[in-house]
Amino acid sequence: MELPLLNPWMLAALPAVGIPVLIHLLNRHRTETVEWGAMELLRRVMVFRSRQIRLEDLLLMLVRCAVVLLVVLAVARPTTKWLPMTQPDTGVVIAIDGSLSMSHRPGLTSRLDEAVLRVREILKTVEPNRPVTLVEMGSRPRVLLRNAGYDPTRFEQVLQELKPLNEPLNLEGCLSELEPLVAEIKAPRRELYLVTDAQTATFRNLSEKARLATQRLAESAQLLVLPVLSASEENLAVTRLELASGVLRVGAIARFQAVVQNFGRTAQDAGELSLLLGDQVVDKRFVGLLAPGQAMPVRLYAPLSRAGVLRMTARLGDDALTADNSRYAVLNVRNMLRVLCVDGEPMDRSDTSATSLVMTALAPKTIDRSEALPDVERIPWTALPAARLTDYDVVVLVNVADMPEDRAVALRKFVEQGGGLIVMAGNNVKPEGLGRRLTASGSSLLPAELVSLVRQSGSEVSGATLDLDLPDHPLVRPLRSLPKELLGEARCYRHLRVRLMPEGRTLLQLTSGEPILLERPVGRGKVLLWTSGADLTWNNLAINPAFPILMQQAVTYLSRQPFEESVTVPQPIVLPLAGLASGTEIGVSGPDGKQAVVRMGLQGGEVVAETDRTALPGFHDVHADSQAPIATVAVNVNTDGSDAKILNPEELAVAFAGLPIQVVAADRNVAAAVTELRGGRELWQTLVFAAIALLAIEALLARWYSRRGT
Amino acid sequence: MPIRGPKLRYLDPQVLERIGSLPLAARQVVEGLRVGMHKSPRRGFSTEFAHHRPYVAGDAVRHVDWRVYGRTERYYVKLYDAETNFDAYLLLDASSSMRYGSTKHSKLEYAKFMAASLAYLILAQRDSVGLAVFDSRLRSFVPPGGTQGMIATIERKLLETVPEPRTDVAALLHEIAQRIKRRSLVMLFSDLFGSVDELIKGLDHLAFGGHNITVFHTLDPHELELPFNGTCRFVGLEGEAEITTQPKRIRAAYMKEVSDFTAQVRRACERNHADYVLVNTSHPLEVVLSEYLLRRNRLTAGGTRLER
Repeated sequence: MELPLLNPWMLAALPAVGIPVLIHLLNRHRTETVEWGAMELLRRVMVFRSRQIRLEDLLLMLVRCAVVLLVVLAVARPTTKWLPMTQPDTGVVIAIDGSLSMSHRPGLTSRLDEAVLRVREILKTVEPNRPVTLVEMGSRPRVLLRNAGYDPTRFEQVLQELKPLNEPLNLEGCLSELEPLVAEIKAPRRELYLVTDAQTATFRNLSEKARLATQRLAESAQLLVLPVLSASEENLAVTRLELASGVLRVGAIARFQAVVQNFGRTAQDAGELSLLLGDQVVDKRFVGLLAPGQAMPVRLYAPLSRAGVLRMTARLGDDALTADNSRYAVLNVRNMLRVLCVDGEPMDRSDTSATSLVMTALAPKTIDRSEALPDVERIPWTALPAARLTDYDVVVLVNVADMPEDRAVALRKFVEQGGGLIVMAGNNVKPEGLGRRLTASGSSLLPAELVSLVRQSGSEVSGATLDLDLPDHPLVRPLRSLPKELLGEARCYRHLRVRLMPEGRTLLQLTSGEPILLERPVGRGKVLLWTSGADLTWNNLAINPAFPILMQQAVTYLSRQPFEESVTVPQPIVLPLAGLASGTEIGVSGPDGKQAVVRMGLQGGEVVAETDRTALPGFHDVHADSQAPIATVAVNVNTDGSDAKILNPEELAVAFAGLPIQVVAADRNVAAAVTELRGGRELWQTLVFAAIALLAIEALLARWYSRRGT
Repeated sequence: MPIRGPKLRYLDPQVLERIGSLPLAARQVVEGLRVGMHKSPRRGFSTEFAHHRPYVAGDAVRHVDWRVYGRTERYYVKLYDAETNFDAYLLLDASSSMRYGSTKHSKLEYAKFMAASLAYLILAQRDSVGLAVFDSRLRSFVPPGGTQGMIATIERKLLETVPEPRTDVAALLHEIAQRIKRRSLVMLFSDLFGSVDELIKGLDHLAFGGHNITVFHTLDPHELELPFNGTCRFVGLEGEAEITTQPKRIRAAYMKEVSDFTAQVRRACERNHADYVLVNTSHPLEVVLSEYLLRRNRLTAGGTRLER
């Protein structure tokens, strides 16, 4: 017979059963000694009374021990399932899937609406005041009502206010976090209901962690999965919107790349994809028919006709799941984009000098003079101390041997405040010179420590080649669309061997694994290190057609502000803001117009604003006062949850095979299924009654024995 | 008789004052050497009028000399019968069990007070008194004497008496019965803890010798009622094995046992024409003694005297 305990730790009090025995023993030692003359009379009495007394004492002691035992057991709250349920002793945890796919609304009702209907059916089987926990699951569980006595009015109100979460379901994480919520329910029988659309992507192949969490949950609760019906599983989504290329200054044309994907089971006509600048459509592309699972990249162009923060939206026509039909991005467009090129070999004014090649790559002589390019200024390295760095957006050090320490510190401050720095290696760049200067404490800028010069065999043919397996990074992303042969021709004869710093990241490398292009964020800015420079004796990359693309993209990348990086729901917005002190309160207003107050704090020595987890996709404005926003952040949904395909009950049963989970099909009556499962009750009241009865018996016995004596 | 000399410990003037006017009469004939107030078994001796003595309660009215009353307005009794004095033997149990006492005095002390007071009374009425102190054996024996110095002798012996273990009252009674040649008054002061059957045999032996026997069954109130609470460890005063128990739980059974015990002794005394006095040491001594003397005198005067 199994008697699960609700407070098993109370069994630690079991030794208390020995207390009556202990008291008896202590009393035996606490005797009064009487010198007595009439021993013979006493002895005669004891001959027949002592055995009776021992029996009486033993009986009383056993009764007292039994009383303590019953009390200990009662507080441990044993339960039984073999007795029929005579009272509503069931505690319920209801976990509602609130992920993005639950917003899917093929008709008048969404999947979440269907889920709420099923929850109402479950709640009909719960008696008032029984413990119920209501949880909405997304990337993590949100507890709506915790271990609350069931009150139909209150629960109905919570259900009516339930909103989808615009984020994918993290099933294994949610199951793990449900464990303590289930454990804290004080009831002989616990039930955990998962009300979900059973998305194929999540439920088809349950992770080992999810299976283990399920097994652990099943040890303390009856698990039931209630899938909801859905009339359709079709969904189209814009999964990506990125600035592909383009200099972010007025007059330039920005090229965006969007991706439209069909997550449904059948081919869908995606129609047109529009690019909006603010509320105005600036570009439109016909996407057409997409096969199931097909993801189509779409190029969109936006003329940057004015300076400031631009809100870009790529939008598809409405479908059943609208939350992922729009994708947002923010561009910070300047009137001018100024680049300072510091020449380490000012004596070499030839067109093939490294600095000339860099300048040509940044601002090529084009036929169309109207094309907006960065304004590039060239100064010799000796003029660096006199240069006002704040006048520039990006500084490029080309083969600069060294610089005064105060310049290095100034350069670091420039980057920390949002500037971009490109350091290009060359014959003058030595580990013990510029390498030491830009890795020293106080002016540490480089993403890696310079170690030594590496020379290849010296011939063009035998130079080292680039690793063409490029990472998915905004800087090198444009190169991924170039023909492989183009980059394949690039050769590297010399480069500086480096030792990567913790903050550093490799963006380009040789096939040998030696880094060529590295990145390091410093404050609000970034630093790029070319370990092979632009000297033609070091590589032929500078005369490769990809070089200008890379350099211009580097300037664009470095000149972008932190707030231009979009955030995915439910990540918080973390924003370094210049000119605001720690402790200053700012306001962050979401697409719904609601404003939250955020206090600026220190993170890694920098003053940043960090909001709570984001919930709504769209543009979030940051206000320091009632004036115009000082920054705007684009927040997008995580389209990992856009796959609206769901498992049918049979597939779900297969997915849960071997796990102690019961699937209550969508067409089955929940109340009937639940009533069939339930049984058992809590025994603490019975035990308390038994203890009281035994106490009464003990009192009567003690009194009777006492009276018999007198 | 006034108390002279140094103050005697076991004679309490208050007690003596209370009992001083009460004569101790032999309930049966006794043998004496001198003329006394007790009927002698010897016929023809002092059959004529001898003297008057003050009337005491319980005397037969027919013995009142009304002539003397007419002259003096006081009651005097004329003594016609042949009367003699008696020898009284005070047998004091000094065993360890007599050491027990929950009141001001232990049983032994209380018995000493009783013995001394009765000795004084006996000597005051010109009878002879002796003392035997015993525990497991006869410790000391003072032959009967009628002189005033006897009270001091007895007092000294009582003072010297200390409790010793083990009581064998029955053996002691046999020994006393052999020692006493004349029919005498025998007073036993003891708690009588021991074999009741043996005790009865000892009483039988004494009674066979024609002695007047009085048993002062001396018990402490705690021994009568066992009023203890909690758990008690009873340690025998005479070396018996310890008993640990909760007295409250056995009180009723104990009291019944005590009742049976005293009833058994009482029956044995009645069978041997001995007086039985259950002495509760919590009661005042003068009350115990006066009640005893009054009762005894009432019985003697009421014709219940038994002659052999």
